[in-house]
Amino acid sequence: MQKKLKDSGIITGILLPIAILCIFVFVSLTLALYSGNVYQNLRNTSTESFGMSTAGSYIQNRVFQNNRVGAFSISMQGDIQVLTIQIPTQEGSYESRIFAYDGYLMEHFTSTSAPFNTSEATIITPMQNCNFTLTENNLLLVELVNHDHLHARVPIHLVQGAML
Amino acid sequence: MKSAKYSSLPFFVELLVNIVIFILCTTILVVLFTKTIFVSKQTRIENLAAAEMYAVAEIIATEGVAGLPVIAQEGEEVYWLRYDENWHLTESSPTYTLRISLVAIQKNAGTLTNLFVIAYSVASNEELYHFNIEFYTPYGRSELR
Repeated sequence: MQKKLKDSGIITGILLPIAILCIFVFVSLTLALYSGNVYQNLRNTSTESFGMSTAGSYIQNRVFQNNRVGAFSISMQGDIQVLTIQIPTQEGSYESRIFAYDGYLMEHFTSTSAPFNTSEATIITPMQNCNFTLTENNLLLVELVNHDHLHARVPIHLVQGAML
Repeated sequence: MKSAKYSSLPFFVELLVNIVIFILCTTILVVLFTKTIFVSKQTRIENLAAAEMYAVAEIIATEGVAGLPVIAQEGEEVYWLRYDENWHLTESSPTYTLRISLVAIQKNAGTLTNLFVIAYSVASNEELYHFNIEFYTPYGRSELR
């Protein structure tokens, strides 16, 4: 009888609290992992949204700053499609070359005569691909593709015309 | 033996209360996290839908409906665009669709166009986002349709 009582004491006094503690720890860790997953999910969504909107807004601003006749052209430099924005200054003619290369949207501001060079370009934001289309009605259509293959289109109306 | 039985009773009651509180907290947290994931995904879809809808509106205002590459027409003034899960235009098994309704009213010096765009999720058959805009196209500019 005494042995039975002693066994019962061991179960209720030691094993049961340890078992419950283990369950609490396990559930707490699972919750922590789940919350971490939720945070990562939110962060990914936020980064994705930031990348897309930053790229779209940046190109839009660059275009609106220089929305003049003959200021825009689209060309191919090897496999890279480049939007070139002519920017005349008092010190000569410069141009801004916007393109997607090596997983980033980049811009290279340089003199018109300088050769195309990706290594001197400034990184704007991570972006897998960026395609430019200029229509006859002066609509510049920018199609952005991020690293998750998500597409976003940014149409910009070039009021004063452009050149192809 | 009786006293041993009574001395363990408060311990078990406390344990039971702790377990109940813990289960309650855990359930609330799990529901909260699940809801957060759902809201985050829904917001992402709605943002992308809104961005694409404004892009479509800008294209229509400049190029007309002919500027949209993939179109299924329903009646004279209703058009559908189909998109895959990455919001890329597709012709088969869409994940999202845009319903574009155009009503053009002829005025003295131009056309007043009412554009109503609704984005749908095909799987849930639910409306994601909608907006209604009007734009004026003076005569002399290329026809929108």
